[in-house]
Amino acid sequence: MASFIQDIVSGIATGSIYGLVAIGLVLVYKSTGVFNFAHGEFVALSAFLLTSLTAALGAGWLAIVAVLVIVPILGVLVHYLIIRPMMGKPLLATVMTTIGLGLALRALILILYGPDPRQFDGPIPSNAVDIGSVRIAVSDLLTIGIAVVCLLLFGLFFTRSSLGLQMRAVANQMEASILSGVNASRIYAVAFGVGALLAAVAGVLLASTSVVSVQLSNLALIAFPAVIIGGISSVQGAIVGGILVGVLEKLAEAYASQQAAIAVVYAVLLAVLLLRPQGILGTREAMRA
Amino acid sequence: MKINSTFGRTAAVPALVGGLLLASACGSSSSSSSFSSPKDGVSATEITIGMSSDVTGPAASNYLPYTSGVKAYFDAVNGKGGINGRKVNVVVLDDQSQAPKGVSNYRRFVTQTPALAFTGLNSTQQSAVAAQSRANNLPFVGSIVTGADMMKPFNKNFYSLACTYPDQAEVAVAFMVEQLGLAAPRIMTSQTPVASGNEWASVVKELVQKAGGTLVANHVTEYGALNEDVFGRDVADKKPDMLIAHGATSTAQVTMKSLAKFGVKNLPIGTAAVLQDGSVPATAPGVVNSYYAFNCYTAPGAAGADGEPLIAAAKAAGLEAKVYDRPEFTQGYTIAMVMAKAIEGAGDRPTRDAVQQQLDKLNELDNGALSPAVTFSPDDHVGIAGVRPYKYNPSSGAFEPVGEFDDYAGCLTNYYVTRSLDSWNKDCIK
Amino acid sequence: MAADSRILAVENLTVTFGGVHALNDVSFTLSARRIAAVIGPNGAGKSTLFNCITGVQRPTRGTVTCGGRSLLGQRPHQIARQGIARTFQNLALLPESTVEENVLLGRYQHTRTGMLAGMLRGPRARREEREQREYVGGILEDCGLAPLRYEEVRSLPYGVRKKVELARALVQDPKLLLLDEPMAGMDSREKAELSDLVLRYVDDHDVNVLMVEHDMNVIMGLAEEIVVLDFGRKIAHGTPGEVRNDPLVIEAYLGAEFQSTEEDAPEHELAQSTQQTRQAGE
Ligand SMILES: Nc1ncnc2c1ncn2[C@@H]1O[C@H](COP(=O)(O)OP(=O)(O)O)[C@@H](O)[C@H]1O
Ligand SMILES: [Mg+2]
Repeated sequence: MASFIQDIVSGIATGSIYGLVAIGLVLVYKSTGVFNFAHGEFVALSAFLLTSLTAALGAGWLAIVAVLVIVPILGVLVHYLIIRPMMGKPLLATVMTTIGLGLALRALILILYGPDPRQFDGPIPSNAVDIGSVRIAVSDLLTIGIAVVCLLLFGLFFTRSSLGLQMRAVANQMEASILSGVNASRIYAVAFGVGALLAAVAGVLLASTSVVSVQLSNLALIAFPAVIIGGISSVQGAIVGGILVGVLEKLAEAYASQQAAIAVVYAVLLAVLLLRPQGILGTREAMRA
Repeated sequence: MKINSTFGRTAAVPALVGGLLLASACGSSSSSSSFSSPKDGVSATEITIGMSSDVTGPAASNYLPYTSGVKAYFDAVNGKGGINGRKVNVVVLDDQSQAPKGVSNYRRFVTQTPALAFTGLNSTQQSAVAAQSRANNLPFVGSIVTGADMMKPFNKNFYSLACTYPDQAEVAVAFMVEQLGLAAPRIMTSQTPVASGNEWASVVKELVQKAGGTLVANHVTEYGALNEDVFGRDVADKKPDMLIAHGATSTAQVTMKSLAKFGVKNLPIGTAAVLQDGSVPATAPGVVNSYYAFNCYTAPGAAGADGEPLIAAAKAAGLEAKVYDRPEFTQGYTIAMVMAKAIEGAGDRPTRDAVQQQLDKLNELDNGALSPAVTFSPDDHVGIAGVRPYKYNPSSGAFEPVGEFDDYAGCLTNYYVTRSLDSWNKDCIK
Repeated sequence: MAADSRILAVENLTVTFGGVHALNDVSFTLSARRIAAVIGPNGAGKSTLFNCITGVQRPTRGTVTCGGRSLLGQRPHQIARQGIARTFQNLALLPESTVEENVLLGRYQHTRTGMLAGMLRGPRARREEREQREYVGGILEDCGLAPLRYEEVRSLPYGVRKKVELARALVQDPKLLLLDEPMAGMDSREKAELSDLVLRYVDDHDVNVLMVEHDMNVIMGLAEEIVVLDFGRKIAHGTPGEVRNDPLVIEAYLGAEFQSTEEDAPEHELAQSTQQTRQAGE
């Protein structure tokens, strides 16, 4: 029982990181119609930037702040320089562009940092606390806490702020929003920026609890199922999907193996696609905020 | 033709191949011999050596030193005029540890861009080309690892220059059990999901039982996993006496992080040769109390005078210590040396068949402190026999050899020939 | 009729889709009168005309000017910010947002705080937001929507939603208001209410209205000037009285369809124009 609870906690912690990445994907997809296949590379890039900035600035905290500022700016730049010129081109071309961007970012990381994994000794402690017979990693609790705070802040931003309203408007009623004077291109830029910010938070959390390697970009491969399972049009769905995938993965790993975990995640994905193609929280026509 | 020594750019690969075709098309200028055999990768002025390695994938930090060792040796040879007047051109294709890429790279060197000899691939990729490699005549001169499928049944084209996993496991289990002085050790193993990992885990399991211990659990760690929390939790729960690990640097580092997360402390760890990498124990300093790797190759910096030529070649190639001061570098260098020896022995008309005849005759090629001597015979292609422990020194970050190769010779069953672990016992160390 | 190019002038406007002339060499200039209408049978090109004015559709040939300024080459949100607002034949609201949020959307063009400052919510941004909400409150009051301010749009009846959309256009404080079938789907009481609302608004503000409407009673009651399109061509332009007696109009439109005013809104139309918007580079 104790180990079951431990695995659930690990799963929620891993899953909240998937959730952060998944929301970024959904947000960009909802507002721009572009599925950003380079999103995972933003996570890896953030983690690597964090190691360089820690070396340059001397303090992990400063480096974290710097990454959370720089990466969203990169996201906005990517929108203006790469995605925007592609808007209105056939979808396949835009998708290929984001795939190409992902490959280019991967190559850039390898050129700048080489193939060796790196370490980030950040402010997140790496020890465990015993609660009764259950041993829980402090970093897991922190990860869950930070993810929850980010998700709440994001929720407030999306539902309460004027930018959030414009973002929802552009996502759901694009023509009407533009003709009401909303500058959609700028809203897209904000979507890319916020998506990149969420990727950066995930990158910082992963750098602190895992190893900084280019493999972190593969995170997107597991966030995609989270997005689909949760419902591609639903922000809450992305969170639910992320956590569900994290927990499924850990339980499958504990009771079968890590390879089985991937199979289980994709089996659930298939089941959802067959039974509820719009995802658990997705809606068919009107999209949920 | 000179290859950029930091070939970490995938884009460089097509350029290399293009350049190579160009070079072989117009190269027939000044040579002592006019012999050429394009289907064997030999022109009048140049010899092609094919290599498939993980340049940008998850195991790159292991394969980069190996690739650099091969290239550094041939760079030095080319600097002295090449082999019998021909320059050696090492063509490296990136396989990112993916089986399909490894297979297509290998096939390319068989016919499309023929090579005189080939080296590379991980154990799973080797399994995938095992049947093909028996069917052609391309000499396949080892890799970092030797997959069981390449050796069983005997493969006349494959020459192993890795310490086999059974060899490593035989010394590892005996040494770790002796170190801890336990009558009934409780051991956990970890492996990545590749052929060598399966082999490692199953041999260790059998040896642990022969030593009177129990294998508590084996955990398979996937490449690219974000964490190994289930494994970390399991180790914290089951409290084994030691961990005997296989993997790649990245998976082992992730594992270390998760062990730390669950408060695991002072765990003795013995690892396969691939994890002889100081960045692994350094990932989570409190977790490990002693960290040993079992290897048949000695990093240049730990081999005394025998390592000096390697360091010189590495510096000439502009390599950093973190790339060359590794056993994989010595291994790559040794593989290149063996290839060069055989090609040189084949004289003025080097063909794949001639090179093979030379390899089959290679006897007691002395490698000093760098590795046990290399010996092949027509029916035994296990070139390296002998493994010793290397102890990680946390203050220097280096691995220091423990004893001589001979001290551990009694532990080896020559498994790939005898197919049996029966002759092994835990008190085999001199 | 005294044409006033400060309002809206269309010259030689042509839009072709493949072989179809959605608009074929249409020219007209609205006079200074306050409410004008475009009528014509289905497929005549009315929505395409609106799309050209709002910048969503790039004409094949011809020009559109408003207030003496060419609208061609401007991006739709820039055109909107010059004081051109529109409503849609099919509702284009956020169903899960409140009435106030939907209407606020039309007000952002009057916000001066930059994006970053808005995100950080400094005192100026907050004051500005309060002002915008007050302005929206005023318009909601005028439209009789004040009690529904915090209701979700999806909970409201169709006729009220139409009003919400109108309110969103009105808070833009437009110089030119384009209404695409504002009365479609309404009962006669709602129609009367809405007509009244439009008339009152026009009286109080410096605004010109151009509307597409099928209900001829509404048109004749509201419009002072009518442009008639048929198969992409302009076949008449004048006062209601002139148009009603034009033999071409009678033949093409009135004779056949005068009675059938309650036609269904074609479902695909918005989807189509949304696609165009994406293609237009936004
Ligand atoms: N995006 C488009 N692609 C192709 N044809 C179109 C498009 N939009 C409108 N049309 C065609 O142009 C003509 C005019 O359409 P429209 O302006 O919607 O007419 P109305 O609004 O007067 O009913 C119709 O024949 C219609 O089928
Ligand atoms: Mg229409």
